[in-house]
Amino acid sequence: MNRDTQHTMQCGPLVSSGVFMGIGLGGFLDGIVFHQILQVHNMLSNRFPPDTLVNAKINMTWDGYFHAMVWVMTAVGLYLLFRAGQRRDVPWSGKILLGSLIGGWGLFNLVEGIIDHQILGIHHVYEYTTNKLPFDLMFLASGVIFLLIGWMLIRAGSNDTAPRGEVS
Amino acid sequence: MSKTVVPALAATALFLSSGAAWACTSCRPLVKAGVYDQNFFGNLLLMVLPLAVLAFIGAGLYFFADRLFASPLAPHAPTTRSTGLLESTHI
Repeated sequence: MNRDTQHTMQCGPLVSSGVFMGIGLGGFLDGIVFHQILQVHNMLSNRFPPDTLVNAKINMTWDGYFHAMVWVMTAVGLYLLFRAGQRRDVPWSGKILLGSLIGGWGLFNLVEGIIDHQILGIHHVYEYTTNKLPFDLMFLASGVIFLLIGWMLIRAGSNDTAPRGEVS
Repeated sequence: MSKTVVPALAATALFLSSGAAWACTSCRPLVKAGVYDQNFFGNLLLMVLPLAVLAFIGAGLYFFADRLFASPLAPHAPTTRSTGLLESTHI
């Protein structure tokens, strides 16, 4: 067997792009649903409780910085996806991409939940109660569930071999 | 027509005249003072921290995802057809 002509497929670039986009889109979903529609989970709500208009607007400003950062994550993911599509050693697998997107969303919930809610305590999912832990734990649990779903989907697609343009 | 236009105009006028419709001009300096104070860069750092960790994980997956999600079937590139030809002719 000629080793030079045999290539192992690399799913890393596709997984990485999907995870970056999953983190970014998960952040956008968090910002749209929780921060804006439900008016909870604002970025510095444990430091500036949004019980006055000024504090609410301060949180709104920090939410804007947060959205700018997750926009960068999404843009990086899109760039990586474009680069992955140019490579013949990267499988163009829907399962891997979907799993990476869901896994990235799960990673976002898990890491953001552990660092911001549990370690730093700069905000919680739901501030309008004395016991904030149940909501924080539900957020973490959703992260674990999304991560497992993403993991399973990526594993299911790990046998896909066709690069972009050759998927039937 | 007036049955629908008049209530609609009345509702619009009521909405625009409510306090919530006006921008809080007086609180803008307070908001700027609350955001861009001596804690600004500290707060920014706290906000960047989880995303920096996430970016680190995402970048790590670029290189190590294949080991994490390795399939026992060890998939090969679509060049297997040409590889087969090469094998059969013993080049």
